[in-house]
Amino acid sequence: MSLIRQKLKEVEEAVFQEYGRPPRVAEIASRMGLTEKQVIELLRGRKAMSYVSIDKERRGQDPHPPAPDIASLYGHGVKPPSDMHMRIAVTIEKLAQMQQQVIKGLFYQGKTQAEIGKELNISQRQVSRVKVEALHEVKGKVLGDHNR
Amino acid sequence: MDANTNDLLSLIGNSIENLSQCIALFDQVQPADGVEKLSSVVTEIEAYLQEIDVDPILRLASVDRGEIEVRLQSIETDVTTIISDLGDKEHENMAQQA
Repeated sequence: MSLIRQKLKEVEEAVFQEYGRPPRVAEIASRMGLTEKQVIELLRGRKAMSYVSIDKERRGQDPHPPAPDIASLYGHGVKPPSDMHMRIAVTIEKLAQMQQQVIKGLFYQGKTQAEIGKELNISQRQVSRVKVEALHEVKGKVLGDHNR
Repeated sequence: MDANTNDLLSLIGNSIENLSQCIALFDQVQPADGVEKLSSVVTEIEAYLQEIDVDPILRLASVDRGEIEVRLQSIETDVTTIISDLGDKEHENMAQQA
């Protein structure tokens, strides 16, 4: 069952990424090779039926409604669940790892700035400026503006 | 590509800052502003991916472009899923209150 739920999550994420909105039951069913009834049972088991029913209501007026305005939903001072903090922190960690990799790469570069300028049809000075400004930007973000 | 706004390191720096501010805003019970910060991370990643071909930082750092694209798309998915889940939770709260 956990594999099916994992697959469900992947399908939801894929549809959201593709269309910028939650998936419809029929879309999930089609992508998972299940019947709509099975999908509904699956969603019910995950206690995730609320947005489906609300989306259904919105689709009653417009078959292709825009993605819900999440910001307006949170306009009345309700604190989001604490697990969201953890998920955002994990995302920050992923970005920090990528940042370290890129900065290391900048100090062990394989090509010259002139070669890269030629590839991109910009001057070596422009390449150099991009590098300096990017490192400056990172330094400011990591250490604070007073250290720039 | 504008060197001041959309090279990979600036994108990462801006994203980390926005996500950190988002956590702070959630703590201050300003979730709408926090969600705005999350949305801006997605928007900036999208904009960067449109222009990734002309980012000199990628070449200077000898980083594989395909790998960076996959990792950024993964982060974009993480953030959009968080936004989506926040919406689901709020819908559940609204449904319970109704």
